[in-house]
Amino acid sequence: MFFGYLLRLRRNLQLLVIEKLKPPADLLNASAVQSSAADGLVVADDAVMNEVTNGASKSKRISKKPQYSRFTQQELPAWKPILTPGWVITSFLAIAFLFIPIGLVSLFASERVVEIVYRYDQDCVPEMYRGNVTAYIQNSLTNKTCIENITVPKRMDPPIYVYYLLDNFYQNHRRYVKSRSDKQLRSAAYEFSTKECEPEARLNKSRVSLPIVPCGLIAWSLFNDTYNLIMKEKVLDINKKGIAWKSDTKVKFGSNVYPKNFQSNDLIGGGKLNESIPLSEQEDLIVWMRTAALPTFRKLYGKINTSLEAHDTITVVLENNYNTYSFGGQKKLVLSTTSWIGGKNDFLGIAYLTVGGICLFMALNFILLYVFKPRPLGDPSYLSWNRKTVN
Amino acid sequence: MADVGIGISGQEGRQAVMASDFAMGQFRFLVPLLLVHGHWNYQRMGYMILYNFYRNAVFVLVLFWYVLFTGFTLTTAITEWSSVLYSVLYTSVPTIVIAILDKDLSRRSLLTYPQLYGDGQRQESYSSTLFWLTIADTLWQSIVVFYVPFFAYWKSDIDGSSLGDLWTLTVVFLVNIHLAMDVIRWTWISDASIWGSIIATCICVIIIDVIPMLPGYWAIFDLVSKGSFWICLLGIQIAALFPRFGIKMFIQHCKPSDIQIAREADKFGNSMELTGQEIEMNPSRR
Repeated sequence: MFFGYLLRLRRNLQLLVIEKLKPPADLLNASAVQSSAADGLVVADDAVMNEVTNGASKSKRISKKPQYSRFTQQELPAWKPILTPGWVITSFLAIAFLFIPIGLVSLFASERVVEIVYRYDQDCVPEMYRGNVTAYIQNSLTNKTCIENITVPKRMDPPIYVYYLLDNFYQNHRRYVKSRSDKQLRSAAYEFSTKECEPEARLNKSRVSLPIVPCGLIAWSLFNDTYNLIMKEKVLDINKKGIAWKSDTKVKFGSNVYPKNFQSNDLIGGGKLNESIPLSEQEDLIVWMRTAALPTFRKLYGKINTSLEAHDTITVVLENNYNTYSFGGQKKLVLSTTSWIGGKNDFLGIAYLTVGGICLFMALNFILLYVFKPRPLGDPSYLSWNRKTVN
Repeated sequence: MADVGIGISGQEGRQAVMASDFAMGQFRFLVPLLLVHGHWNYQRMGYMILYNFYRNAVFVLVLFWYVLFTGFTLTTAITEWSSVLYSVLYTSVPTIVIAILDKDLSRRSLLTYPQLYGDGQRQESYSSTLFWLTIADTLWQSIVVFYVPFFAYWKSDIDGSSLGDLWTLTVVFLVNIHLAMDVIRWTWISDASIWGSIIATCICVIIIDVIPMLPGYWAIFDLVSKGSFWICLLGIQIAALFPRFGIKMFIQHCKPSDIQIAREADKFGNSMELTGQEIEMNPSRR
């Protein structure tokens, strides 16, 4: 009995040893799993030990091998793309054939836009004040009206947009951008939340601190030049409704918020507001408070709905109120039509043509490369250990 | 050069195991550990370090270029919420997924041809040269991402939030497409993570712009109605990536690495019979 037990034990051990020595597929898998988990093998060892000490040859071995899954064995079905010469040339040509037409279309759209840009801040200062412009502009008694003529270069179809363009004006200055209170703009209940708006937050008058609505530097520096356009003895109607974003007029600026104590401190930064019109209808203010991203920007002043013929002369009667002189800024009046690409800007068209052209050039270069210096794919003679013997 | 301790647990006990980084039961397990997993890990780690430098630097350099045009007052080009979510949601998942799952060669090839391990010994996945080339590429891509919208919208009436949204979307698209260009083995998880991140970014930018409390309210909707936005978005991706693509293809053709040749042989079926030189180790049976 005991001898039979020993024989069975010996046979089991031999089977186990033989099985451990030959590396069938799943055992190599198992060993890979175990080698990646520090204690995996220890567990498996114990399983084998259990088997031997039990002595009984079970028909089903207790295995602590983890569940096989394609994810854990990193054997998920995969696509392994390799960019062959054909694909490289195809992609460069595709980019070229896509970009060159888009570039031409963009350039064409930009060329179709007719734009008149007229800088008036130098010419509109009367002769006698040109020595001390800042004093002139800050003095509320001087005459700021200015009359100039501009000529239409090409026919302009409606709607024609009237913009004011400011240069060297950093509406993206950090302190400036933060100097507003969106809560106050939205609803009259938050009139007193003016913390972010210092120094244009409160009006200090006879020991009572009243809130300024709308508070902050952005509103305080509201642009206040006005333009009237006259053509052929008739005033051109500039539509000033609908120039601000609809979302702003409906949500950001409340219809129950009225300007209060605005521009009443000692330093006046810009225009005044009509206190009987709610903020949601003060479209000039709304347009101004969408702070521009770059130091040279333009903002919509109004729209003209009549067409202008080529060589028409337009008389501009403008009020030169806004002070850009103390920091070297420039003011310009812009009349412009639009296209699907926006205003007049050749940059995108030229950039697309450049990239398309370079890609075409690179496609040709690659064709020459593949023709004159071919390399068969997967050729083992290029392997580093083979190249050494070849050399 | 190697800094890993491997312990064999067995007849002589577990002391080596307790002191080591990796433990195994038999000496023959060293072969797949070194040649297969060691190689994969080296390649993944090397690429991931370079990619992570690139991913973060591109974003920060866009912010840097913007500062030059705000009077040096550190206004952020990209809204604060998007800046936070960039590293958390927009670009982190593809990085992690590709770092875990990407394999450049199959286990069979690596075990059959141990010379392929030399790729790691020759520092072909990460070296000082590769690092500086990555930084140069990053600089170029950040210049494209910043200056194309800058010149396209110079003198226009675009506001800060819209331009910030454009930069956010462009940078995220670019970074993910850059990764997609370098993925060697596409599984469904790689697809889901890369394209899913892009979709998640679009959704998050829309959500951020629908909250009235934030200054950029409704900016994204105004932005997508402009034709120039779509032109910028497409143009920037291609303009930023085509130098990298061209150089990569040129080097792949003229100075192919062993890994490249092995991948081509795997895919196009050439038998990789060695000519001449003998190898010392016997290839493991698989």
